[in-house]
Amino acid sequence: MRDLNAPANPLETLAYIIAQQIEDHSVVYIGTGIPMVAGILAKKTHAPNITLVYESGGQDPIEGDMPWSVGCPMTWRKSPTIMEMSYSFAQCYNGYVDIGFLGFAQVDMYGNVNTHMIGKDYHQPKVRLTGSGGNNDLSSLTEKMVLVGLQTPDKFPEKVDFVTSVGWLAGDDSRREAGLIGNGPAAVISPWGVYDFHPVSKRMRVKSLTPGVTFEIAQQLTGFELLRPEGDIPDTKLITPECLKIIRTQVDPRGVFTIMPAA
Amino acid sequence: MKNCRPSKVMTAHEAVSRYVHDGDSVITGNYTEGLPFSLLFEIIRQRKKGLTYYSQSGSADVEFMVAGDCVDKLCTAFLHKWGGRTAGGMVERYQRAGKLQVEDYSNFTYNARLAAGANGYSFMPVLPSIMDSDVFKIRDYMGENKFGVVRCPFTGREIPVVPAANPDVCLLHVQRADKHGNAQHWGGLGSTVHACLASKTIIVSCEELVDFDVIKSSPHHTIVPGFRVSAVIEEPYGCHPSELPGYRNPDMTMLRFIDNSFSSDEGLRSMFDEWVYGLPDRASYIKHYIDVFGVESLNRYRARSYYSAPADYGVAFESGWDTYGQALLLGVDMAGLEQLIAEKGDLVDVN
Repeated sequence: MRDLNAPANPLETLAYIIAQQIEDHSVVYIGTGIPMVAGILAKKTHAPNITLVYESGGQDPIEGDMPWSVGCPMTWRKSPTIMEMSYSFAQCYNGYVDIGFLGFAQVDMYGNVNTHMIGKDYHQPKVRLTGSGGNNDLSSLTEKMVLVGLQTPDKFPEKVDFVTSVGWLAGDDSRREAGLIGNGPAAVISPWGVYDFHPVSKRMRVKSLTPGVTFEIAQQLTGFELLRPEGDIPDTKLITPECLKIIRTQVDPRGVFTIMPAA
Repeated sequence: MKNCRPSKVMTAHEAVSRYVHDGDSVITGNYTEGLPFSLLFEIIRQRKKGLTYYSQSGSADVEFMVAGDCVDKLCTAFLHKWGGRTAGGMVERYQRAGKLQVEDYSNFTYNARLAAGANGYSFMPVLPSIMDSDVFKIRDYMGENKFGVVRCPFTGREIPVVPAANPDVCLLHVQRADKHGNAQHWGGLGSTVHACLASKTIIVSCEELVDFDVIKSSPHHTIVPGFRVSAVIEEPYGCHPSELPGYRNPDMTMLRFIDNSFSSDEGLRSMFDEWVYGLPDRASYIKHYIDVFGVESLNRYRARSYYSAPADYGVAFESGWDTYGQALLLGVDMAGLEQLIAEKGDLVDVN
């Protein structure tokens, strides 16, 4: 049983902020990890009528255990339909999916994502990561794309080591000129801040920061120059005690994705 | 005519020695659930060499095949990160040592290669955002042939395409099959059906071998028709330690043991000596598991049943007469038909 009185950890904070991006009645493409926690939290709180879509084919499972991956039986347990993967993606291609969340190991100032490898040469990886999975596919498929991950200068470099998924490419009009469909990344969410992209230059810009985090701290956690919004920077709405309790007792009671790994 | 379709039932050892050859391309049909570990262990045990291995959401299956020195080339869209943050998995060790070539696709583009293969097309269009990514730009063993670009004749747009994949051998583990190879699988299929239908030879292992009567009463579960299948192996626990709907969850005890084995190169080797090379087949693997971890551990992951409602496949047998007593095809009633017979007697065959 989890300690219900401990303060929210960064992963729980992240899950809550992501959940707030989900509007009721929307169709949500869910990737492995924190997006699952967020999707189920949204469904149990402010957005009970959303449809959760998983790439292995499961769609809208009834409340059950936290899936450990998007291929896990909990993604389709007692769900009204189980599709094959190509049809699950095709729903996005045809514009039926409203919002999708992409995880990243690295994200750059234009929202380009890396989940492949760390190092200078793909053939000689310093660290081999998972690869694309559905990451690249969703980046061109969902109507609204939100990037999710942890934030350090290494994870927010000026240039990613490998472009798994294209965000705003090289900024300005480059994404459109390259002929990409989809609306591009709308936001980047880390435990410390929520970022959007400048409407013209498409460079990453602070939207709101976790209480206690100043612009300067956010900048120190970033490997490129962040843009500052006009006026005061609002605080990100923090997780409520009710939602924290729901995560710990109902959504992820065994802490599959919301217990911080030991350092 | 007498039903003379032969039984394809054999052991994993026979199937792998007969149908998997050095240098073949081999695909795991299962997406993430029901990974065909018994067949994979057999390939490693028979020390097959020079394989091109396809695994969309690669897990321990890829790590084992690479560590078994069976694989030269790997085609994948995702690889589970084994071995923790320090040790790393065999894939990255082999890749760094120049002993393994890896071609990375995304889920959709990997699946599209199989969909093209299954449909008999030579290529398949994919989504444009791939073109500006390094998935498109960085090529390994496929070089120029990893992606292509064509112009759509209807919109004039440039469209990236992927070449069809038709692997030599598909390994598939399912819940049940009959002796002719009709294989039934339910759950999160992912790209399983495309992987099977694109492949030239299909080897099926199943938890239970069932009568044809079971298959014909539930055709919606059959994902591969029997005539496409070359071998059927009744292999309980054939996908252990991965999960299978109706049978079991992933065996976390075994998965933790495997993960710990990555901590040194030697570790995976001694794990192989004990669990792969040291055991002749799956039955002895499960017996060994029980000896090491206990039968309670095995049973801890057993599924609780949740049955699907039966589907009613009944039809009304058609009558040639409508409710007004008219023969549908001839447009006459019984008296009219009798008159026709009288008039054209010799020509009307009422046999």
